[in-house]
Amino acid sequence: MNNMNLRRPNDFGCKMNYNFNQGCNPSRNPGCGNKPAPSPAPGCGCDTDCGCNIPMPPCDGGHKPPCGCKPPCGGNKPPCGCKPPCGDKPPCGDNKPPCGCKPPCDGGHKPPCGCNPNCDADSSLYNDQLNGMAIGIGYVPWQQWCKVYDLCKGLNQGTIFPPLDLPFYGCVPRGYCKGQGGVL
Amino acid sequence: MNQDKNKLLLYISQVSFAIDELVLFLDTHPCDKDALAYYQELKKARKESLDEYTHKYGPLLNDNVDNSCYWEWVKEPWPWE
Repeated sequence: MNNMNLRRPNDFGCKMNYNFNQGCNPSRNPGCGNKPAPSPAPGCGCDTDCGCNIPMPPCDGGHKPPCGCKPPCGGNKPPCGCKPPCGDKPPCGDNKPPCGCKPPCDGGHKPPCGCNPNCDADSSLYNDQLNGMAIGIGYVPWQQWCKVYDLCKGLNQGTIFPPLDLPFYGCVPRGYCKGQGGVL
Repeated sequence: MNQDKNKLLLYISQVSFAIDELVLFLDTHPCDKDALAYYQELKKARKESLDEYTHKYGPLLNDNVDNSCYWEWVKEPWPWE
């Protein structure tokens, strides 16, 4: 394995060039200088020991490869310190609940990905009126003075400003009747 | 609690809530003349209703205690009473 440039695809389709020798030279790689001299095998010893036999990428002064591009820790194990690939997630820009799940309706206990919690068809979250709008963009229009509610209605509605008197679309736990803001 | 007292208390709650809402608006619209005029109106209405309540039933807030000879606040029922 010494003096070997290894080019191998990992499980995520990433390709990286690993030079297991040059990454272990403390004089050329400050990021490795604080650790004792690496043992010859297995691995270069410059990075965190992931408990596997496959050497880690070289320590190139702190520039670690992006998550998902490290070599796998022996066959089926996920790479050390990396999250598994996003193969099961919907493509970017798809503003839908992940993995086909409906939003949970049981008081915040999220169902596992891929399940169908049998939410009611009129679940307020599922009928999110913002569905389809671009994510990550928030805005608050400037409020203008308007004719306000009378005092009695203001206290009852929780605001004196009619434009702020909006219906509640939050998820309500099962067991609450409609009179209490629930779905039953 | 008699009905008039209840009504007056409810009115005080309503006008106080409206003032709270108005203050939030004025925090971001300090020059809005309509809002400022309405604030003055509500402030006057709240003071009058609090004064009326204090006169008839005793102090509702501790700064409504006017008697310098006796701390009338303690004559009012406690929250759990």
